Amino acid sequence: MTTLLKKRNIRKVVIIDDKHDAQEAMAESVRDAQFEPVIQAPTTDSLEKFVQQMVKSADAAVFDHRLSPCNYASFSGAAAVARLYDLNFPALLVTSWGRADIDTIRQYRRKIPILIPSGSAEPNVIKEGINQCLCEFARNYSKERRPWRTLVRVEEVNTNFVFVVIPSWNPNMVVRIPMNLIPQNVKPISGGSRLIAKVNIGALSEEELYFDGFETAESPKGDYAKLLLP
Amino acid sequence: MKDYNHNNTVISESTLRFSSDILRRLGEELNPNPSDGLIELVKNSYDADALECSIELINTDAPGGAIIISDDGNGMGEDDIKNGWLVLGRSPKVNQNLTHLGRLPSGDKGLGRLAALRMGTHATLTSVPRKDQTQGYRLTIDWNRYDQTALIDQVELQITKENYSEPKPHGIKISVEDLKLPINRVDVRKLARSMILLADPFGDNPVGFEPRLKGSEYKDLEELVGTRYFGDAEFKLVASIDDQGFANAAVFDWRGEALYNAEHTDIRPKAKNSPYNCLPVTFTLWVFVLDSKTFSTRTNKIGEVRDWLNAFGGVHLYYNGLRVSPYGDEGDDWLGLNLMRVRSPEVRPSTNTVIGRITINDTSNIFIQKTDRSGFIENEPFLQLRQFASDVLNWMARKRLADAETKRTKQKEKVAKETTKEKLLVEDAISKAPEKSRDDIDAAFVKYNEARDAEVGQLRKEVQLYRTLSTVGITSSVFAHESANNPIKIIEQSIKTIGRRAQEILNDWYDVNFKAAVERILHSVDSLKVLTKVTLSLVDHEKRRVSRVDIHDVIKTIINLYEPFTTDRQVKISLELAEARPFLRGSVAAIESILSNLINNSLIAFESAPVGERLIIIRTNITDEWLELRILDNGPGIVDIDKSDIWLPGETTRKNGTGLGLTIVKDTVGDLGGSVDAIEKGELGGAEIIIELPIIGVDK
Repeated sequence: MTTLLKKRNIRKVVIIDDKHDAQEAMAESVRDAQFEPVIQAPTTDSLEKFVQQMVKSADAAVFDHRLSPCNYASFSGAAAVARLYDLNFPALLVTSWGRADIDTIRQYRRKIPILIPSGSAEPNVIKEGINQCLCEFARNYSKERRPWRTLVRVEEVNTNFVFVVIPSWNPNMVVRIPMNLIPQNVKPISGGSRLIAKVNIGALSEEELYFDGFETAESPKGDYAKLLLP
Repeated sequence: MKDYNHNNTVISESTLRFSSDILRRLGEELNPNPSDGLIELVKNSYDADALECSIELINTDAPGGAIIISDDGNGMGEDDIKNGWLVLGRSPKVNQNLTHLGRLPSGDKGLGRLAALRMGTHATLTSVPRKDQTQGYRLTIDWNRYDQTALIDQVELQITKENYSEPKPHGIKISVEDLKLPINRVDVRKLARSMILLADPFGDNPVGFEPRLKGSEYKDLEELVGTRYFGDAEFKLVASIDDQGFANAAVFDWRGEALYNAEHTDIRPKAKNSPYNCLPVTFTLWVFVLDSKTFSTRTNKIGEVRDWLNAFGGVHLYYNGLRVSPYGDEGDDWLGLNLMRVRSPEVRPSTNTVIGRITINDTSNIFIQKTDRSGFIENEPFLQLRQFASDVLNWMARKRLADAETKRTKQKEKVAKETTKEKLLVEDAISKAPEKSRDDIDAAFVKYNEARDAEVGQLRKEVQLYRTLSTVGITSSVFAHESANNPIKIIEQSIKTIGRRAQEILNDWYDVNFKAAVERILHSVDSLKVLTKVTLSLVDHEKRRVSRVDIHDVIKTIINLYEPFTTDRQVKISLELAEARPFLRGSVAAIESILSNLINNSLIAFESAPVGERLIIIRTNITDEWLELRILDNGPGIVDIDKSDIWLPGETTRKNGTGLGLTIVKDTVGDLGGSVDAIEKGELGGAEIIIELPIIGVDK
């Protein structure tokens, strides 16, 4: 049960979910996708130790996002997938909660190529997802995932969230992003601040948007700029 | 059958006899603790018209001690001792005539007396009868003799008589000597408490009977009961059932001024015309608020009152003038006060914050005490008595809740007015400041106002969160376990695996035999997912932002969310919305709270009564700057609860209801500057809720 994807042999796919039955159900789909499912037992390891071990022993992984409720692991699925992305290890993230998890996932979204709604993880989706991870590792982005350096306008700020508009994505839509996405060197920000960030402006929905590499937009320059009121 | 009688000869006559063992069984096993038995002896004194009765404990902290019980009652002559005192187990029904002092005999069967007398190795009774105080009678029972004989009647008891030259004080004295077991501190304290409480020492009209436990170590308890802290009670409840079974009640404040009055129908709204099947009863309850704020202006200290309530608190039951344990004993909560308090801590008393009594005069033995003296048999009259007490407490809680609500609303208005007034004063002061610094002060004040508004805004958000969470709780409780998400995920994935593999193996056979079933499961999974979606949708942060809210938009969104449930429950929701689209300044969550709670209410109402086609109408009308929102259904309407009570927190007619839904609706509407009203049986025959909201405009 080995599948050759992007010149890589993918055989063992580890399944990480805090419900054993859910792992078993996912294993069936993984098997039907012609991979060998590996049910991962709960762990007390740190995230780093866990991913290092995984990279050595398997070829890909499917993570549920919420791992702590049933004491499976201390880290989230999103954090693990993002760390594995850095190690060029294909990992898919499954979430049952849609919008409710969007804020905790957003900070890792740049490194989560595929977010699968639970129940939709069918064999072809799994296979295609792994394939897409491998493409991204080769800097070969899909239209929806390609990063663009673009203007992000801050509309409002509160303790935990920043409300922004990305004119090049949708000039009429306000998007909420967690404050911890904004690096310290860009702060403080307030309503009216203009930032530059790498954003996948081809995203089809708000949930798919990711933000990376924030920087402060320079003040407008040129002769007319001097005429503008502060 | 052949009759053999004519051939029989009587060879001897006999009677049923009892083994000596029966004394131990009857006395000790039916009275598990020493104070209960001794209290029975005190009750005998009450029946004998004694004014005083004392129990003295001599060296009882070790085996070998003695107990002396003495009274100034009628005493007993030879016949009384022989045919009364020494007869065990006679039914108390034989004598229900009033005594000379007008007391109803407590009717001891003699088993408690037996237990008390057997605490020592021997007991001695001396008696001087009131009718002839120049004669005294004496009887000693040596229990060791019973241990040596097989049958009770083999032990002869001797009553001796003594003539006095001078009349002696009448009454009896019983000494129980050479105690087999010591009496521990806990039991002594329990006995002291029972003695003090026995004859209703709190009553305004005492029966003139004063039982006392002699001994300096119990002085503190006696003093404690002597100090009456009733004046420190926040409320006094007085309720009664008349001889027709109808109840009435009144609550007075600490100054004695009447706060609320209730007739039978207020106390028993669910059974307005049915009387209590019980004897006339009076129920008096003093309710204390034990917090330092309340006691800051009182002369008595909060600690003293707390100690007093700890010692004597609870609701005691006085039957024919004497207290019946265990009602109101420590750890006994026969009216369920503490449970009710957990449900509604704001207005419910607990056993530690009340003292009260229920008094019954029963001349016809309707209430029957259990043989082991652990209270009354729970027959219909007793259950009705308990129901009455619980109904009265519920009524008082409803009134106090309504009061608390009014106070809360007034307080809110007052604070808002004061803030505006103070703001004007500051602005006025700024305008009088020297011109040079005026701008600076003005700017500082604007900043201050902004900071304050931010704080208020934060608080409002918190309040909104509480309401949203409550709504989530209610919605989840309505659809209970259905909202569990993980099983849905597993079912969906597994059924897809089954479908996929079956199709591969069976080809056409799959389509004919399995496809429809698999699709049905997948369809049901989709319905279940909606439940999660509804719950999660209500907690979305953005919905709590104050913004311009298109009310019709929110109504349509909510109806869409509810559609799978309403379809399943065969409920048709019909929208009759005004042509223009009204909008207001508020939060989406607020409008969603109002709508979802009202729809939930209608859905639940349909469960309680069958109707042909279940129908809910949501109707909006716009007049000037107001929106009138009506939610009507054709359910059973508002029944079993007063129309004005439906908005109170915790009031529900459903067994597992939270009673929070309509309170949230009322609070939310209030925050938006609107008002609520209800019609018990509206246009469709069911409940009709009317919400009025101020709007800031309409879109054509």
